[in-house]
Amino acid sequence: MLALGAWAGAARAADAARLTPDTALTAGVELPAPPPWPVPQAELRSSAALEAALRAACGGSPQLIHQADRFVLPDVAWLTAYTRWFERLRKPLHIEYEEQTFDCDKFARCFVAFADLLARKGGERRASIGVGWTTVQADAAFAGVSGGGHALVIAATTSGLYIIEPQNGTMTPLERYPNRAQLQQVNF
Amino acid sequence: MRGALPLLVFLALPLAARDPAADFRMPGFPMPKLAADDGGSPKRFGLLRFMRELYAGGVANEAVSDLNLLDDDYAVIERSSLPRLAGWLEGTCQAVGFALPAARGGPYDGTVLARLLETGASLAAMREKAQLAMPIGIIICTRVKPWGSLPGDGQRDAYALIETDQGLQVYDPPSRQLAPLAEFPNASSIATIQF
Repeated sequence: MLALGAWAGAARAADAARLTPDTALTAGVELPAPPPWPVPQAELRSSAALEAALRAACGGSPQLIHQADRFVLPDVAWLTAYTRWFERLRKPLHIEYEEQTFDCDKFARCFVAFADLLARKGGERRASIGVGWTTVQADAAFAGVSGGGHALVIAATTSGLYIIEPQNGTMTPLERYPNRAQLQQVNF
Repeated sequence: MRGALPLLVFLALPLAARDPAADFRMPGFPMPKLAADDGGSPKRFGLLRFMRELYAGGVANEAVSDLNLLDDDYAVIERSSLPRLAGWLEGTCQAVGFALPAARGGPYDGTVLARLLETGASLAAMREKAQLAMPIGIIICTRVKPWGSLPGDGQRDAYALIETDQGLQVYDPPSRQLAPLAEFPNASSIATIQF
């Protein structure tokens, strides 16, 4: 009976429904030439090392959410070039702040998603990029934003952690970010 | 004939000089069809409905109580739009030379793909002035039980969670597997829900 039950379970698992993607897509989007991904310079770090660096730099205990157990870290030069490139996406992608539809967390996730795409486009296959996003209680002003909950980009580089406001490209080391002790959830 | 050769070389030069890594063209962002209520307005869902569906789908209390929705109202997508969203995701991966079906052959991070899917839909929603957040999130769970081609090997894995007119759906992009949350075998081992 037990064996039969196990067999039935296995059959159910094998029968999982599969989606057939519709590949008849709308016209493509042409983006500006991106900064090249620096494969040899990018370093691998474990999620545990990332978590330790995060706690040391912010002095608080934000919740770290991730699936991967290691990440590939760009250098600051690439991150700076990428941040400028992301600003240039506004026109071709028609990016504008819009309450709920495209607000601070969507800006931050969009920044992260394109960073990962560029790394993959550059041939990075060792891990996903150490660029994530965080929620914060933004009591002190940073990059023109203050008061209430906010979402920002947090990037691990070969020279430490950086906070980026993806809506205007302002970037600072995490240890100089005024609300670093109020980071709530950090998602890599 | 001899005169045509320099002309051909001249025409081919710009093509030869182009760095393929510098080009970045991706598929247009797919606006999913939004489910409508009886009055024809886009159907919305918020925290209470979401929590109810998670509990009904077998998600453990600890994961649901940790839930923190970042927006007040989300749209509900028609399930028939999922093939289009999946097609966009595959096309975008192809555009950067990333073979999605083979993704689990190397270090794999499912959060990246779910996040990319949400970004594509949000960019389309912004362009279409949808005025609602797209209902695509991430779940991280332990593969306690097998699900289709994915083994029950105790590894952590991440999938997209999408609210549709037929309830919450779990989607795994590399295997293309799709299941209503209530039929997803590892619902009880979901540790993180990010929406």
